[in-house]
This record gives sequence, structure tokens and C-alpha cells, in this order.
Amino acid sequence: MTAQYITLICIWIGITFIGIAAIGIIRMPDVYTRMSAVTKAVALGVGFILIGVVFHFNDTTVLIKATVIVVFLIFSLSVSAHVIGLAAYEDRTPLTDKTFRDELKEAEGKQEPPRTVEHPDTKSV
Amino acid sequence: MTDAIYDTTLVIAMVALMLIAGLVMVRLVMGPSIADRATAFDVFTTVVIGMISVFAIRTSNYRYFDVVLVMSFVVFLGTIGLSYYMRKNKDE
Repeated sequence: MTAQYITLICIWIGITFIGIAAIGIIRMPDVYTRMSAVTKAVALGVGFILIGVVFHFNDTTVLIKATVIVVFLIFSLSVSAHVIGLAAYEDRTPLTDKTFRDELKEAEGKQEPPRTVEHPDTKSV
Repeated sequence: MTDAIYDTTLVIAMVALMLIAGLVMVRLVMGPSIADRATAFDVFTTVVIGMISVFAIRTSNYRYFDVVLVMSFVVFLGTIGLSYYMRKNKDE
């Protein structure tokens, strides 16, 4: 009976996290901020839901599978966010107006001689 | 807690996850760039993973858990493949 309470509490904590992530993906102004807001919250939320599943079934096989899924989700969401962010930057997806520092642009600028006029393609809109 | 209350709460949880999936779908349709859509689809599939987990609890059938395992592997490959072609287009 206690396991049912723990299951429901874990599931609702997870749904709260995923809901916050969904609000973030609607409200954030930028591709990069959206990705940063979403991936961690979703991994945490699904992790809580899977903890609830483990408490419901109370079984070793389910525990092992849930551990594999949570570890793989944490890795895969981080890696895919990184790769998509890099591809979006190389695709020149515009940054938001509130960006005050673009470190990748600064690092690329140091390898080349200093430009006096900014190239129109690299200018962030 | 009776089983009826437990089952009803799980149904409400599935409905909440469905509404969240609808919110993510808004970004998937609206998204100005392709990276937005890729991120939104990633999140959408993760929400579906949560829904299948809650469904596995409702039916008390742990075999649905294998679906979750396979799904979490496949989504990763899809996202990586999409970003690979995004970067390949840029070189040409």
C-alpha cells in the first residue's frame, strides 16, 4: 500500500518537471535557450516516472531495465542537444537579441586575422 | 488507498502527459528553424516514453517496459542522423 503512494508521488513529480519543460519550449526566445531549458528537465522528469514504475513492480528485472533507460536517456539527451546546437550554430540560426556574449564567435575570430567589417553572413540577426 | 483511486490518478496522469505532448506539438509545428523541430521531436518522444511507462503501471504488465527501452535507443539515432545531415548540407 505504501508502494502505491510512492509510485503516485514520483509520477506526479516527474510530470511537474516535464510540464515545466513544455512551458520552457513554448516561452523561450531562442533555439539554444530552448534546448538548454528542455533537455535536463525532461531527463529528470522521465527519471522520476521510471522510479515510480520500479516501486510499482518491485522486481529486479524492471529495476535493471529502468536503470539502463535512465542512464542512456541522460547521456543521449545531452549528446543530442550538444550536436543539434552545434549544427544549428553552423547553420547560422539567429541568436536572440538578449545574447550578450558569443564565445564560439570570439574563438573563431581569434584564429583569423581581425576583421574590420563584419561579414553579412556571420552577423547574428 | 483503494485500487479505483489509484487507477483514476494514473488516468489523470496520462491525460496530463497528453496535454504536455500537445504543448510540445505546438512548437513542432511553429518552430522557425529545423533545430527547433528536432528538439521538439526529441522532447515529444520522451513524453511518449513517460506515457508508455504509466500505461505499463496501469495494466501491470512489465513487458511494455521493453518498448520504452527500444524507443529510447531509436530516438537518439534519429536525432544524431538529422544533425549529421544538417552539418553535411552546410559543407556543400
